[in-house]
Amino acid sequence: MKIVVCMKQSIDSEAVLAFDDAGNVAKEGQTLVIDPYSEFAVEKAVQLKESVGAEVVALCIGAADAVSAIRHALAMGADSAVFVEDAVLADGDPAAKAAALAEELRGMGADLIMGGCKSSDTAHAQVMPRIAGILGIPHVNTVVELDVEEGVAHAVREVDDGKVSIDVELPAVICAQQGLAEPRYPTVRDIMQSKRKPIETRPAAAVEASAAMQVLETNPKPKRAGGKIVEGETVSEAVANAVRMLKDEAKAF
Amino acid sequence: MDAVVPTRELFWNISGQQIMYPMLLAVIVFFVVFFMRRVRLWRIGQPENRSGHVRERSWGALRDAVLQLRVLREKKGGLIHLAMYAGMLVLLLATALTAADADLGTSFVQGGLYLYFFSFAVDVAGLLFCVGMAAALIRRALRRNAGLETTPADIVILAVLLAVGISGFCVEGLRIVGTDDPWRAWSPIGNVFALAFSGLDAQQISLAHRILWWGHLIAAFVILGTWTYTKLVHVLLVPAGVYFRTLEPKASLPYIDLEDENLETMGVGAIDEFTWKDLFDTEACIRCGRCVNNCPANLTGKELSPKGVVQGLRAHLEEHGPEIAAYRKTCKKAEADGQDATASAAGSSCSPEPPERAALVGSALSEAALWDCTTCGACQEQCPSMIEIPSKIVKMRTYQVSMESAFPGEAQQAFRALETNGNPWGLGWQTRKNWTEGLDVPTIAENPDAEYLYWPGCSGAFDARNRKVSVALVKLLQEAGVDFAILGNEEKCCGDAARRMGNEYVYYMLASENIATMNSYGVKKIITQCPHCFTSLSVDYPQLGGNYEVVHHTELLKQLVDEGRLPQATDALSKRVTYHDSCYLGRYNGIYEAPRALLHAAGDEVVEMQRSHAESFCCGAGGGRMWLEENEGVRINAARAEQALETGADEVCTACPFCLTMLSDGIAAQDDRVAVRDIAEILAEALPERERRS
Repeated sequence: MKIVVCMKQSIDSEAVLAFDDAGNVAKEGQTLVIDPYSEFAVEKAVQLKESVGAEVVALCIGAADAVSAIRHALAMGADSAVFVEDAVLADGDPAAKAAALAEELRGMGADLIMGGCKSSDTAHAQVMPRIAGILGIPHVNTVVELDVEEGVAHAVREVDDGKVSIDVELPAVICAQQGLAEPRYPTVRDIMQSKRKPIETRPAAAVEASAAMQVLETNPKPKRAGGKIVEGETVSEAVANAVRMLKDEAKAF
Repeated sequence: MDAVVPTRELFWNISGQQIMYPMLLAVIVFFVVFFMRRVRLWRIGQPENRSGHVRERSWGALRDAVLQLRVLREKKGGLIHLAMYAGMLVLLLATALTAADADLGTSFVQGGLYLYFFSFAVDVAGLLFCVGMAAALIRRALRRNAGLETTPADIVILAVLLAVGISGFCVEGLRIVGTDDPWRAWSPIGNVFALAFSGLDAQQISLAHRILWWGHLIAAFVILGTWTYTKLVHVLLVPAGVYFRTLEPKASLPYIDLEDENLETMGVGAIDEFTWKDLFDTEACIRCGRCVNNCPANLTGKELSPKGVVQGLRAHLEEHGPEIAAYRKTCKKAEADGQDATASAAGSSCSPEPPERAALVGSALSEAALWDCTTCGACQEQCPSMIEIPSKIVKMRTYQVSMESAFPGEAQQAFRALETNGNPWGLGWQTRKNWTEGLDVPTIAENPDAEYLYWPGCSGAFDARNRKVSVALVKLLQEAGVDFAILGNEEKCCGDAARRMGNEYVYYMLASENIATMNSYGVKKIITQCPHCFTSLSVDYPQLGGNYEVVHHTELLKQLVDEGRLPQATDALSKRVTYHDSCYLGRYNGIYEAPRALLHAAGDEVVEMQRSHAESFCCGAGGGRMWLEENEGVRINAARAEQALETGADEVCTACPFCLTMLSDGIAAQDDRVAVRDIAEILAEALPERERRS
């Protein structure tokens, strides 16, 4: 079985964001990590490799510095990577990205295509389903459990009021939700070995895709109003104050 | 009356004593065989240089082992041991001199030396020896010492030694009666025994004397013949262990070159990855249990027992060592043969299969025990053999984390946080400097000529409680006119927690980035308020090329007070304050007096906890435990808080951010009237009052 995991690099979620002149989030000086949702997908793919046997290939569109995220996926256990180096495309429209990825995937012969159900930075949740659409294969989104046997993927996906079990024939696209797999912490040996694993770098295939969306403006999230700290010299005093505040100010009783 | 030279007849009433010579030969053979076998086992370990500095090492061995100063740290057991030890030394000397008289024709056993030494001093020594043995037997029987476990062998050895002592007195008493010794008064104890035998006739005395003399001889030779195979071998191994102790700073860990492309493994996963000294240590453990009685993890009901770890490693070495040693020997031989036979043959490959790698964790010690350790160093501090226990634990953690990725789940969050944001909470690295808002604290980029780099550390920069300490310290530094600057957002975690949790890789990344940053600014002197940062920057960083003069804030503040740059408190508005010694400030770096002097300078009275100074009890956060759950037993910080509250102090003072957090939590749960504050806060609060008065 061949599993291709579509992955991306994103800005660490704890980062303090700033905007550049064009109104985009400035990446300069930010800590870039493998996107957490991509990481769930990589982990599950590697687990499948370990349990049922598979070749795992990471596929990534990104700027030059995305190599560190790819290396992380390799350290986790992916066998090789295909790196489409294109900084503009990486931050570009999800439809264009999906088209470029689908173009790469066509030649790769993947039985299972995995990726995050969204990314932690833009949270578009567009690319993976679009890939399935372009390739004309089924996709299961927000997957939290996955097993593969004899050409069939048994997936459990999260829905609003519970979980749904779905079996799909391969090839299919599976989009990882948090909970699918707890990402491992690579050992130093894994990290060292990942440096010897092949990364094939190529330019983005020239494909036409009409833009899926248009960004009008970007604004920072409004700052949260600070909470109230209950004062008090002793615990009992503080508790009394808290009760008084709940009663008088919040009218909770 | 002619002056008669006082002496006694050697071997009175005895014949056939020559058998002692073959017996002594057997003893020597046993001894040699034992050490050859042991040395062979120790040599499967990795090389480590513990030679050189002969004078320093010898002096240490004299002070800490021969003079028993370390043993005497524990009063009861120490005194009992001293009695046995002093008695044994005198008896040994007397026996050697007597042997010289018998075989070398010397004449020590006569005259004044006979009376004062061979009669009186030896009698007193014999008494001390017997009393020591008896006391030790009673102490073990009563099980008064929790850390001391008693095996049947322990009892047998003490009993046989006691029998040697008592039979010695019996033999002496019988000889005194049998020869009607005119110098009997000089042998007070033997004389008492003589009185007991005074009713026997000459034949009975002769027979009893012979039986007891041979009994005494055989018991003594049994001890001599087997001593290397029993705990008694500690007589040699403990002084040797002290001699070969590390002369590096106490917190030192082995340097691992992560740039080395041939680096195949890290830390210790199998017994032969320890150094020879580590393996030697396992044999030098006398099982006295002082480590256990001082281990905060063990005392709060956790699985870790430092003695258990050492004994577990010893058993592991015993089980797997011989096979590894044999394999090494065969390889060496094959190599030598191959080179002899033909240069073209691949002589380095060795024919036998290497022995299977037996993992240490899960065999010599449990995974829980490995992660229970706070690396507080109390075990090593108390160990009479100075066995380096925390470093062994860290080495095994390094293997577990770096090679097996096996560690408590919570650690992963901390590791990832350190990797991405350079602090264990994972807070955005761009917010590190936020604590300085409203304060006039320049970054080193703004004040490149600052005398000191002030290093608040992750706690001092990110933790709300500890930020107050940073603010207080800044106030004091400004008051004293100290020229300082911070790295601001360029600072990263020092890496202490990562390294002592076994994540050498993350430590290396953090440390090398910090060193590069500091070197680019030409940093020379650093102020830290965290003993962990202090240790990392001063002990760990030189291994990676970061050499700075690092000072902990307690020492700098003390200096500023001494120089009059910070005012002394004038009145006696004194509080009773108990100071909690941080492990990494006290035990690891020997700073005990500066914080106490500062409390006095702040006009406070210092009351000591029962466990203080070198015997201080960890807060529970060292060795990366700050970032791990503590689910087993009582929480260490709760236990320490209880100890602090027992002093009846109005306030608890710390000089470490982790201690501050842990003790604040521990005390808040027990008594919310007692405040926990850092020494900088206490001193800073005393400042404005002084200004008003002056």
